[in-house]
Amino acid sequence: MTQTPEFQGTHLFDRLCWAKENLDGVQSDYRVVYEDSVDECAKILVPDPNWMACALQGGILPPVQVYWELAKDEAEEGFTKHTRGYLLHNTEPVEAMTEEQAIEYLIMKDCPQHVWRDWDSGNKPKLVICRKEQLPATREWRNAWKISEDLATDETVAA
Amino acid sequence: MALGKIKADTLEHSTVGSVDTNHLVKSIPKAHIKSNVLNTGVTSNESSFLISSITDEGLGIANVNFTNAFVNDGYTAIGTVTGIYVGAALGTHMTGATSSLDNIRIYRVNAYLDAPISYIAIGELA
Repeated sequence: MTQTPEFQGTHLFDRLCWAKENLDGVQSDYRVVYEDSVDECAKILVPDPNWMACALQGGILPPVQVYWELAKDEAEEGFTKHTRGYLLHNTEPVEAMTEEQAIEYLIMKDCPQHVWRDWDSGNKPKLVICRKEQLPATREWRNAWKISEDLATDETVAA
Repeated sequence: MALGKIKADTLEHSTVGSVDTNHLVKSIPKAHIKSNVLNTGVTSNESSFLISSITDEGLGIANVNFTNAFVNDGYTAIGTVTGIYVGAALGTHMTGATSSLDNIRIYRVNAYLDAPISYIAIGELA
């Protein structure tokens, strides 16, 4: 297995350049289906193959909390530009994850916080991890897709 | 990281002038993606860089999520549909775009449209 160089302190962009040259992409079969508004259709998060390869390799990606800090900065009134980008580059990178751990990380990075922090508080889950085969086979009526109210692990999760 | 480096603040040509390399570093494309996530019945990214995920938000609408945020939401982004979709256009920096995600929409005449996309973003990274 390819050894990850010591990357703490290296700009994240340079780490991703290294990963692009040295790692094969991993196309995950997992998809994250979530609803962040009752008025909108279900949204489907598709992991990127190169990102997944970095997550499985370890030593490349920063801890997910770094992204939350940057999001907090950006939400401040009067924000003009990031001044704490060094958090991405100087924080100790996370170790290798399993595919399932990587999906959890990705949810906490790319799904709205109000969705994943509170995913199971309503009448039905607001967020479901599934396999791509469990999504509808065509995009017909895409804007009407919702998470199924009768979820079962072996069935289609959105319709 | 064991990489060879050429360090220079300026590149100068013998006759046509010089350019500060900080402009070059800032203006190269940082993120790109060729994806058919929004294409009928297919969900994958064919080629990409600096992308952590793409969120299918509905007919013709997606979020492109960046692994390394830009310094702010002022980065330049350009996209197009891939293939023959006469009259289709791709809009960037739509609702909710930030330094770490871009909301893109594909439309033709007055309706959103599903289609494969190619997209790049240029700007200074955080």
